[in-house]
Order: sequence, then structure tokens, then C-alpha cells
Amino acid sequence: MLTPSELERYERQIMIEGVGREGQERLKRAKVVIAGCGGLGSQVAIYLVAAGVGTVRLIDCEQVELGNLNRQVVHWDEDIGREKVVSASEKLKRLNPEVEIEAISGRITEANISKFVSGWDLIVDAMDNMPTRYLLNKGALQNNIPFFHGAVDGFEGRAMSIIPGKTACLRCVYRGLTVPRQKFPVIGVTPAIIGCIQATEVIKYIIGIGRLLTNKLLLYDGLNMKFTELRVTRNPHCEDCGYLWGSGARKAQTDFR
Amino acid sequence: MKSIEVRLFSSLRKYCPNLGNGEALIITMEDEAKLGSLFDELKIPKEKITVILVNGKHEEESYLLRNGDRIAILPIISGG
Repeated sequence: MLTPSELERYERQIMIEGVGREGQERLKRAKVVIAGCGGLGSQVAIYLVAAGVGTVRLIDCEQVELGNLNRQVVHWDEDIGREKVVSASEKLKRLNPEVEIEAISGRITEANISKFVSGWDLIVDAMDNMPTRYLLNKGALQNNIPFFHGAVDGFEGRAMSIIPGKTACLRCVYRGLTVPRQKFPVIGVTPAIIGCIQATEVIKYIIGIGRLLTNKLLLYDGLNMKFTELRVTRNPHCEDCGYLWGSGARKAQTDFR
Repeated sequence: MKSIEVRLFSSLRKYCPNLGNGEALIITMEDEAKLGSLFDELKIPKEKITVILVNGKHEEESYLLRNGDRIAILPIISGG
């Protein structure tokens, strides 16, 4: 049940056709893991918390640096040196005290990924490197949790949504390839756009409206202000999701509907 | 002869500077042409190519190109 304060806070989105009180209640029941509290994570967290996603788990192992502040808008100048998850959860609680925020300061590894995501409804990829993205992809598939990918570089970004056993996964597209981990160029507006696209996908999935970016890789080119959708298909021999081939669409772990 | 549609993305666009982002390049190839020979045609160093999708699927260099194939070539981007 939504409280009178929640009904007022979310009035404008409850007014949207297809959302309504029922959609808002689904958001309230949802538990979302946001892996990464940087440029993408800032945007995803701000908009999911503002929209009333009931429980959010933030995971990041880094501290705020001055060089983060051009894009990681949940962290401010006064937060330099503090743990990112602590800095972020403080702001998010002030933005919306009606949402539960859980902060985990730690590195995601093969050994702990299941512990971090199991029992949660959705995972958002807000990482800054491919190896951890593949860990999240695998963890999402193994635990049957929808996974929302995003990545940025300069004025460019990409997004894709993954439904385990049903649609192409990150490894189907990128086949486990990585790029050397190094300082990447980026302007804040790029993760703002991609993070908002990821948050939109999460909200749509939870409420059960619209069409998702599944079997599609969205490419955003800010310099030419162009969006391109590339069709992608499942690889039946994929190391991460091939074993789910033929199993058909499994029922999502949590049914918000 | 067969006609192939190729799109280059991100930093690979510099190999076809006159082509708009997302715009397709139409290339005519010999009947026996394979995916690997397309890279020579485009003059893209192989080490620059990371992700190649043929009609949305990954294919090896030995893949025999077919008329009307739609190919997307893109580097990985990994920032967050």
C-alpha cells in the first residue's frame, strides 16, 4: 500500500497511463542492485530512488576523487576521499527517505558475485571495466536476474537489456573480449544519457510496460546526436548463456505484476 | 558478385571519413569473398577490429559472405 506521502511524491508518474498506483506499488516492491557508483551509477541511482524503487543496493570499492566530479554527480567536492557508496547513499536518502538504500563498499569478484546479487530482482551494470561486466552478466544469468548494460566513452555510449534465457547476453555480443583497463575520456552528459536510458529500462521492466532494449544494442553518438539500434541475436554456444538455450523463457525470479 | 552492407561505429569511422555515423557502406564483393577479405577491402587494420556482427551474430573470418549481408564493425567501449 502506498502512504499518503508516497501518493503525493509520485503523483506525476502515477498519472502516466500504464503506471498508476499498481505500477507505483510494483516499483516500491522492487529490489535493484546498482553495480558501480560512478558516472552511470550516479544517474541510475538518482532516478531509481527518485522514482520510488523500494530497495536499492549500491556496490563500489572506490573513494571519491576530484577527477570524478565532472560526471559522478551524486558525489560533491566535500566528498573527496570518502567511500563512494557512503557519499552516494547519504545524498540518495536525503533525496527520498522513503526508499531503503544499502551500501556495500567492496570489489565484485567471481567468489562474491552470487552473494551480492542472489535474492535481488534486477542488476544494473554501471561498471567501468569489461571483466567485472562479464562477472555481472554471468551472475545475472546464473541467478535468473534481468541485467541492464551500459557503457560510455567520450561522447559515445551503449545500452542493452538482457533477460536470462530469453535474449542475447553481453557475452553473446562481445564474446568475452576486453580492452585494457585505463583512464577513459568522458564528459558528464554521456553517462547522464546512458544512465537515464538504463533507469528507464529498469522502470519499464518493473512496471511491465513498453518495449525493452532486448536483442538490440543501442549506440549513442552525442557528437552527431545520433542513436543507432543494432540487432543482436543469442549465441547458442555462448559460454555464459548457451546452457539456457532451448530452456525457453524462464519465469523471472520476482513477478512484480 | 554480391552486395554487402557495412556499418562502422565509434573510432572505426575514421576509416571511412565521408560516411555518416550509422550510414551503410555498400560494397560489391566477389562471389567467393569471405568476411576476412572485407577488412582488406576497408583498409582497417585487423587489430583495430574487435566486434563484428553479421546480421546480428558473430561470425569467423572464414564466413562466406552472402548477398545482402548486413555487417556492423565496432570497437568495445567500457567506461562507466
